[in-house]
Amino acid sequence: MSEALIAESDFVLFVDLARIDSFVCISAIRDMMVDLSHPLRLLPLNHQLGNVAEDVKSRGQDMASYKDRRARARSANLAQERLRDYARLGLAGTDAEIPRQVSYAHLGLLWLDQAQVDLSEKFSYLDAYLQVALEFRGLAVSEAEVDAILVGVGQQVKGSMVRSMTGQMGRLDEEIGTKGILSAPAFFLRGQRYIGQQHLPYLNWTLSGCRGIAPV
Amino acid sequence: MQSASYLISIVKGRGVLQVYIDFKSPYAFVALRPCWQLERDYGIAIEWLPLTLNIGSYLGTAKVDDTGKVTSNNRSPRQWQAVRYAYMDARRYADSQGLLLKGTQKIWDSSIAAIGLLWATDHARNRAALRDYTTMVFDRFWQRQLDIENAAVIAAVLEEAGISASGFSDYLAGPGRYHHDQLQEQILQAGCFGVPTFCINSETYFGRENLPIVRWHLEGEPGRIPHKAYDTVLS
Repeated sequence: MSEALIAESDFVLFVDLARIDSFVCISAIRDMMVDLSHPLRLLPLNHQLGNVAEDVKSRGQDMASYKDRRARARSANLAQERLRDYARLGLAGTDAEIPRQVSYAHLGLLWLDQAQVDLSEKFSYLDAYLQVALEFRGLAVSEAEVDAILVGVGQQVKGSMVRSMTGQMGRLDEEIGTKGILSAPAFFLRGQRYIGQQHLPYLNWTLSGCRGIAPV
Repeated sequence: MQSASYLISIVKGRGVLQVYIDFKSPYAFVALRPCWQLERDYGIAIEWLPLTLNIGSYLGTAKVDDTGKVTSNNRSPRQWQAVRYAYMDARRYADSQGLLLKGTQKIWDSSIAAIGLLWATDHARNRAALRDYTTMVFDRFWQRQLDIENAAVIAAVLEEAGISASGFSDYLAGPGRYHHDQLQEQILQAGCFGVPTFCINSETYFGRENLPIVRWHLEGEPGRIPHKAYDTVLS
């Protein structure tokens, strides 16, 4: 049996590079890590739990109508949230959207993790990726472009090195599913999962030795 | 019957805060005290409104017995994942506030308690009475000590909070039910779909993680919009 990719003792931030809220979280945790000595792993999450309402078979017109109207309200709210997240990154008013096809960019992030490069280089990769992704205006960033970003942040990427992570990615997907990490951004610390950026102050408090009053 | 269209308007004056709650939601429960803290911190009167969720329509339904064994359900595996995580997460928040949160054994109809909230809003002599009603209903329900589907039980809580329940029974059967049901239509149309939801300065926020952003609005929106986080100023 192969060794688990995620150890119980790891502190992990799971991100989905198709979602702007992951980049907001990356920005926030980078600020936090300045004062922390604890190692952080950045790992890609490929499968969001999504809208579980789709699994309900509506019984009768009333429920179908409610479900439909609720879905519309939820969708409008999520759109508002995305705009706020762009504002948090100083990108208010932009009409750019990040691409939804991110599987190769995720492989690139996993490759950096497995190569055990410094955290600062992973942040540089994510910064550069976001910049390119915004320029592409919703179109997928090509594999060659991702490779170029990796080279740009100092990695010796040749041939199909990144693509060779596909098997590892499959294992990672399985472990993420087993651990119940349902969506990104999400954290894993001391065997516990925390879904959503809002947990960051609590994690900071925990990693800082639980000094002072716990965030509630 | 008077139209309920006057009941809500999402576009309010600046600084007016609406909070939508449902007593059967664990996330609304763990947001209650931080919300009342906002009243104290900013000297505002929150407009509390009931958003009665049709949970079965998006999370499926289930019943469990006293041992926690599922006796019936129509949930998909990913719905179970979502429900189990939500309870675990809400329980973490509850623990941090010293609150007891016992998972429910079925999906309750919370509309009577919701109509009680409308009644309490109209009849409470002061904010403390309204706060007591919301706190007592939430706390006891999540301790499995309150039957929120029983009108007499809700009337008794109103009285205990110092709010006269005289006429509540008629209100519940007539205008209260009508207003509640109309309100649910308006709330969905206004884009609110879950609890807690906060509406302030023409913006709508879903989830207690937005409390720091609500504070930012109440403080005049200085600088860039803050990140989602816990509300760390509960006292």
